Amino acid sequence: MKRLSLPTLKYLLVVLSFSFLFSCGGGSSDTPNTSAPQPPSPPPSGGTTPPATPDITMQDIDIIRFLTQSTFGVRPADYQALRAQINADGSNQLQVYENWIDAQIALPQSSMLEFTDLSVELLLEDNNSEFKERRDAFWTAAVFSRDQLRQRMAFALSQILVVSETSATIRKAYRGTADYWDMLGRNAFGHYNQALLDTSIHPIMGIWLSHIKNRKANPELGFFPDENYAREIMQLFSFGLVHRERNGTIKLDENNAPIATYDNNVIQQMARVFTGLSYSAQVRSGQEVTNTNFDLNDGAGNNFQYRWIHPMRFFPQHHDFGEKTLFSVDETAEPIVIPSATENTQAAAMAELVQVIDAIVAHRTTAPYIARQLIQRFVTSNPSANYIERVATAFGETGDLTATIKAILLDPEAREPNVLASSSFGKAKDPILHITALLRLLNAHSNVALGEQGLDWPIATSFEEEASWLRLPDLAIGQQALGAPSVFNFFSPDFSPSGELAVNSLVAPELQLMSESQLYSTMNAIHSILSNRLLRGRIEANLPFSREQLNVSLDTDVIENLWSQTEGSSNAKATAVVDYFDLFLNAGQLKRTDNNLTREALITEIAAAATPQERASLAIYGTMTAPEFFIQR
Amino acid sequence: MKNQDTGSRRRFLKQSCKFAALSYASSLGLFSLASSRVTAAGIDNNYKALVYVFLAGGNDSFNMVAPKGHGSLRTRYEQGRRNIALPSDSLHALQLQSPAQITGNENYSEFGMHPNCGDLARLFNQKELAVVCNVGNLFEPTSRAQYLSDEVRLPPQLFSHSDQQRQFQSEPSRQFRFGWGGRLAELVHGQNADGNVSPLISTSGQNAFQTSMEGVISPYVLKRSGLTRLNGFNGRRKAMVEQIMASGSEHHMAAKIRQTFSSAQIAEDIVGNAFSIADNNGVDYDELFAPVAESNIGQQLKIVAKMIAGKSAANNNRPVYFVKMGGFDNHRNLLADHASLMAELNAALTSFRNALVAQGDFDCTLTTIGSEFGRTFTPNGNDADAGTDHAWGGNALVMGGMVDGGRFYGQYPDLKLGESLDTDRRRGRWIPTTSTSQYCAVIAHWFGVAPPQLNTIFPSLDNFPDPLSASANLQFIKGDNV
Repeated sequence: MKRLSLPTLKYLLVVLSFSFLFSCGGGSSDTPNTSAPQPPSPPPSGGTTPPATPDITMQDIDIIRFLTQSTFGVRPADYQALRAQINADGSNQLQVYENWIDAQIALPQSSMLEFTDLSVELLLEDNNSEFKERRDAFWTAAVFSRDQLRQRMAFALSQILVVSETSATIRKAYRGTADYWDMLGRNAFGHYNQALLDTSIHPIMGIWLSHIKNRKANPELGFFPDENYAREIMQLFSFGLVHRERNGTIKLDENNAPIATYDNNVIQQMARVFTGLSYSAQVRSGQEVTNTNFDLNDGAGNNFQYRWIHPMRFFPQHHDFGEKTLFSVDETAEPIVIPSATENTQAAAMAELVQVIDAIVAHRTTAPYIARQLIQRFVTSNPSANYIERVATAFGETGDLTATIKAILLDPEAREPNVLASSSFGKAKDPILHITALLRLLNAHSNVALGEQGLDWPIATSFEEEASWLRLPDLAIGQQALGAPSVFNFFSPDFSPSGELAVNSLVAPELQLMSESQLYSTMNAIHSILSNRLLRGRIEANLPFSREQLNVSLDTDVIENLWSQTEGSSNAKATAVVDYFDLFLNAGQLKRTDNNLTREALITEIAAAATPQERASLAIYGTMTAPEFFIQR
Repeated sequence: MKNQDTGSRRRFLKQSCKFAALSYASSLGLFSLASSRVTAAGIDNNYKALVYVFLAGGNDSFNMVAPKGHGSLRTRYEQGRRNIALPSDSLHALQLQSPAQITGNENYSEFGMHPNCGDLARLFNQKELAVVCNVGNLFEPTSRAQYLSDEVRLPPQLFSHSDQQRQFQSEPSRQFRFGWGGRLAELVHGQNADGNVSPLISTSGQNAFQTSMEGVISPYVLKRSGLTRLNGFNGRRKAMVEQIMASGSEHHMAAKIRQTFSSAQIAEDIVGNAFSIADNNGVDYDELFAPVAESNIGQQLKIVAKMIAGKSAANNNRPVYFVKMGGFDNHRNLLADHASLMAELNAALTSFRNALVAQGDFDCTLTTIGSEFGRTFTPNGNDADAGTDHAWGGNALVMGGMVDGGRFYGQYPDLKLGESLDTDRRRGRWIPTTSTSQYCAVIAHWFGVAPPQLNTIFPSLDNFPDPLSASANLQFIKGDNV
């Protein structure tokens, strides 16, 4: 990808806005995605209606939609790059997308752990809020990392393989939590069985679902293995509660009742698999050595961070090596039986775990169950059965995540332009993605560059050239990466809001967060972004940067440029501004659907603004709070 | 805005029906204290509030209410719980007004509450609080033999948090469609016909309990910090957003957001007025809730107490509140973690009770406290930080002036491992002896639902003995309050 300097980028923004307003972009017609653009219907009244402008093509809209689905927000430069490739080689649009995915997969991973370590290092002293550096590592990566798709996949997986900072230990063990994120990113395009194995032996998951230091049963002493992880690995991380067809529909027995995938006996058997795991590292006399103390405490202070970044290991004396009868891979198969181990070693326990995890992922229901949730994270809340089946097929028995993400993003249903006319296709945006889309579009930045002009961190190469350190306050938007209220994530994949959605049997998981008070809080968060208060309240004394340098601001020049460079009335100028936000934050859907009242309200008030500052404020606040912009179609 | 007389008051239910068409211009605007006094006439002497306190994660309630003394039940308690048994002397003694029924007709009357629940024990002994023993989600009466031989219809997905929570808040015998609180509000809607805001108020987000069947009444969700108001919402920004929110929606999800905004604007003033009334009624809420000022559930209950105090602003005669406290999934570290949960619950409920008494609403406010399931009687380790796993029956609490307190309702289990009520050979997962639906039906009946209608909320009720009959041992509402 061609690197752009900041001035070039700004220039490009202006040029771009003109290109979509005044040209049709030379859309080719060799893909299924270029059906005729729907012309706007005639405006109902003449007063505030903008002058007619040539419509952008469906191909442009599809590029924006694709980037919305696969990144943390569309940047004009990324859009332009894809546009140029399609124009230049005239190749199939889907092939261009696939090449883009391959290029993303090939990019080096931007590491949350390295980023966190570097920023904590700058603090020079323990301040018990190192976890905030980890949180900022997320925001900086979301806005500036080059490996956008990998980070999006890590974010998606973090909402299935949930751990959360609501646990004080996990918050304090910030290196482990960062490492957990990196582990998800490392597996983002690998295989789900590896991701699930790495998850199962990660000490952060061990503490979250309490299977760390879980001992085999001792009936004489009256205790039995912890069943927590055994349950959730099946219920939430793989095949769920009931058997399903490959297309996700629930299988029914002769009484038309769903067929349970396991009962509590299976849970108790499965709990025995997860016995004997504990920390693998320990520091003795200043040296990090293999831990030999199964009961090592859960220290998460700065002296104990090392404990949380090494996978747990088996302590054979505490592992149950007996025969275990587990679940069946479908409703007709015999249960899987793990034979007794021939030797009670660490390696034998690990081999058993690998065998069990492979079987869990190969369970016939895992593919559709995980496929549906991943589709929900990237494309739409209510995928068709056929869409689920195609993605589940790509997922396969090992969970091929490269094939899966391609199947999700390149599927005809994801790319079909007619879905734009549907009243239910798409999804409510994750609150985080709603915000990062704005931060990326308006190039949110501080004056502390990650690269040579600033921090000169070696990891700067995995970020965009203009990347800077974003030390953000915690925004009350109802969602924080790695901060779900429980293992059941921020919302249920089956949440159906009352009203039209429930009546039509449609789910909208993200809307579970959208209560009255949360909507107001989100609007207030957008207000605070505009109030130039995008900075963590406390600046540590040791930081070699001033408040002014660290303050995060948005580039609103583009708004002013659009205004001044558009000919005609204030309405015409305001229309250019609104269409710009509409295109990049909403795939041009306000204009396409000719939602006149909403579009008119934006144009009218922006046109009437007294100052450039007010114009920018109205444009950002208005688009970011308009209901259409909360939805990704 | 003309809302100075009751005749032109916009009514919540009517508004709800046409949410989609509702524009800001027709919303209530400022609802002054003076005008809410006019509406106070709408609150009648028969006002009742239900406060549903949900303990999420599975409360280890056999350490909340445990046997004391030296008899058979105490011996089984110690043998089963081992390293997580609470010492008998540490439990706060409960003086039962009548003997507890124990499974198998055993006699046992020495019980106590958790060492950190001294205030709740005092409320019990003052007859303001009662225990409903070993309740849980059941499809039909279930014995151990039936359970083990698969000869009984069971609630789907026993022991799973999400499913058992949903069932506990609705009904286990059919697929989820509505919560019992949401359905309750629909059945008593005549009592809320003049309401200015939803009678379903949650201080803990969206929930299954308050999901209504017809979908017309939606819960209004408050933050525990109180009312959220919009910052910097004025001038052109306000005009712009209000027009955007008044536009039509092509997409169902956008429509839902518009509806939420509309509801937020309507409720903002009403809820603000309710708080104003509470702030001027002479009750010092900050003082009463000082012990739980930092507690999540304490803050929620403070908000609820003030909403109840300001009932004339909302003008609903039958509000249903949802409050949630998390952290009960104690797979590890049960003794320490549960102790702090119990201390917090004890202090929060006591502050709430004191506030209700001070504002004169204790007799008309029923608070029930329950959890999706109990936890295994036996621990999952022998170390100091051992925990317990998901189980089934557990003990619930009911509190209020209408409660015939100081008694145990239902049956306390005999605590025999591997027999009697245990689904397992030795883990102590007690089969409930009272179904959630039975005990909740008693509350719904108090709230105003006629007996023949109870099974429309709880269809499985027909599988059980009548919860209102003496034999069910669930008559925890004083006779003159029904």
